[in-house]
Amino acid sequence: MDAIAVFFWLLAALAVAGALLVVITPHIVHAAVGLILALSAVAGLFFLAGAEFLGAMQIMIYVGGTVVLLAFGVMLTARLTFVRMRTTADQWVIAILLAAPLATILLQSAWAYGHLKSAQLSLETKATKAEVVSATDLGLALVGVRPQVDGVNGSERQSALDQTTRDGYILPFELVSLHLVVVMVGAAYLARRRME
Amino acid sequence: MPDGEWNESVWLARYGFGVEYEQSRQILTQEIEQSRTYERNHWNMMATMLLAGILSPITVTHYLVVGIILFVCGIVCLVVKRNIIAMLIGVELILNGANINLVAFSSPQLFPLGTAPLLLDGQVFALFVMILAAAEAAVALAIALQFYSRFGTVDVDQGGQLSG
Amino acid sequence: MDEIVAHWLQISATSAWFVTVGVALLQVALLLAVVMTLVAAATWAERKVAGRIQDRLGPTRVGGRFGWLQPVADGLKLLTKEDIIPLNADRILFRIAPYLAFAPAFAVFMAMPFSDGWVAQRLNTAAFFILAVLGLEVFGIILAGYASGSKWSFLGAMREAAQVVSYEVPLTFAALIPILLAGSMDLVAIGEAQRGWFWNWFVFHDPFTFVAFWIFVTCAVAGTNRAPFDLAEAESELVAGFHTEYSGFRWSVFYMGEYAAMAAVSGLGAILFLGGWNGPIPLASILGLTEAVGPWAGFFGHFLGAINFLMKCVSGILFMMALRWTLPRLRIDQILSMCWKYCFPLTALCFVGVTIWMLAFPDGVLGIGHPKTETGEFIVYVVKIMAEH
Repeated sequence: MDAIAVFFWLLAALAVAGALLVVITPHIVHAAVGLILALSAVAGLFFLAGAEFLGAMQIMIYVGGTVVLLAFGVMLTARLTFVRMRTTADQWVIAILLAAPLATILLQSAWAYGHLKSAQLSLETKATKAEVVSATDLGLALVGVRPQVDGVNGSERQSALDQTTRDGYILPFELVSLHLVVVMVGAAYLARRRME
Repeated sequence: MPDGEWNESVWLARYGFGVEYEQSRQILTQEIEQSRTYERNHWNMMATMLLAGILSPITVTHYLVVGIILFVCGIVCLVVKRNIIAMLIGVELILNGANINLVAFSSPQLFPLGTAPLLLDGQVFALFVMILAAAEAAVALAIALQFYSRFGTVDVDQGGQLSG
Repeated sequence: MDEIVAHWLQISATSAWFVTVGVALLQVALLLAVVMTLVAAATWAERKVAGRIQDRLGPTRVGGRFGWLQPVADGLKLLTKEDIIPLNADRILFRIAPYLAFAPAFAVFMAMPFSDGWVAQRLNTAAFFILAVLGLEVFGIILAGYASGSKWSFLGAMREAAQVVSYEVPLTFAALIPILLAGSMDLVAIGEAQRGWFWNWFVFHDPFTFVAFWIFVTCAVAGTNRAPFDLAEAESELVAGFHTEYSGFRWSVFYMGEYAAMAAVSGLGAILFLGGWNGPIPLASILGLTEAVGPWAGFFGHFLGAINFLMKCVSGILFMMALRWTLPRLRIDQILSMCWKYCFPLTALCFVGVTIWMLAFPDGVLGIGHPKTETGEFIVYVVKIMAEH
């Protein structure tokens, strides 16, 4: 039990607790709070895995953006009191029948990955210094420059990917920017007040 | 997971703390090879494996399991809930489960030097998933607002005009 | 630090995790102590500044001539008040909402450098992390407004949430400009890029950054719901907005969160635009108190920098207080239209202007040059190599 394990179990427990709260509660605002808990814990897990930029993005986009959007949606679609829509027992049975086999299959494949890797690795390959993916690398990749792949950094790491990723991610980046503009205009139009 | 650490975790799970691992390693391997009774009891083995998973250092599998739990909770949410916004929350959980998966495989901390399958590409992928999920949530919420103003309720079961 | 403590206590590697956690908690406690002292002093300063601007003295009785112990008296009063929860309130959410508003404002100090290298956790996306976590405060507001179960609170909370979320956009844009100039999101690197005399500060770098600084100030004041943007919590408007139903200790938690957020944005603005721990004159290097001379000299040099940073934080807080008692309050539609129609296009224009300025004058207008950062130089080098391919 090293320090990383302690923090991992704490964050994983919070994420699972948040997800279970979302599933179990019939009250929509409690479900939104459960989502906040789960997403913040996932951001913490990202930080623990060394993806700092992604963790900050998770906080900013998901927790600070999407969940605020959902909260506003909850408030705008509320009537006098929040109606508690309870799910009936037969619906729960169907859901469990669906979820249990799915979970079993996925958990088995996750478990098998660990055994696959342990067959190939030994204690000697454990290095003292891990590579770091910094925000600089991410930013440069989004603009179309891949220093690690093209060897500017002098790194020995050879990528097995083909030419399309050697060019960086500038095309998806531009497409996503266009997509966001379209979504903004479309959502603003869709959510307009209907003039009856 | 490297072999040595896995065996150490299994040893800890079975015999607890305070027992010298180094001098009894041969006993454990002998026990696994020779004894049939150890393998016959599946529940015992599963419990040992689970406990070993909890005691061992964190690997990709742990992250994957968290991602799976979030994913399955999201799917149950989509199936079970009648409030349209609760279904959107379920979709967000699904996307986050997938993102954990991507980040785990691209994490330099969880793999020995130079063996991470995805590294930069995984993080860029997860970034794009995040951006598109936010965009999709915005449009879905706009549709939900229109639904509410049309039907006067957020119960999706009331929106059955097109069926039959 | 954990290895030192573990070795000193002679603890084996398997149980060393609680040493790491204990050391982390100790560092968090130290940070909290610094920020809480700042917050307590800010409550006293608010009443003194308010009094002086209104041509009166402010607190003068508790603790001598200047009323030093007034925050202590205030705290004791709030602690001993009756704990009221309204009948219609959602009990669990009512209880946790103040802490959700208070926690992000303190959490950002984890990534805020007080001097060169003196930062609790050196993140290479520190500026982005701070902006993201500051955006979490809106949850405390929404949940407090909803959980109070009263119409005043709800309305105030929705207005305030809309305001905070809207002003995040030009704030992030304006904060992006010094990141562009330094070439890194690491706040330590941004501070290092402003070392030297005061003309190296980013606020004096070019006119676009100067305008962006004032937009940053406006958006920071609006984002922390201080006057003149405090319609949602103003006493004459909506009783007290989202914290109407809160009394006693819970209200003081909201109050502390507001002051901590003010300190956080002042600190962020100081590092991004005003040079951070670098003073107007490089006193540390003139007196020879640098790392190169020796460890103790370096420590004192950094200590001077930390004092400088705290002074800038405090002057930011005092500026916000003086602003509160000087300008009249804006209406909610004026606030939101100012954000979307004026602040945001102006910030976008400044951003484009800064990029053009950086291309046109890479070494400054008079060719003097300014300090470079490692990441910035790496990016320039990579782009040059790519251009040659």
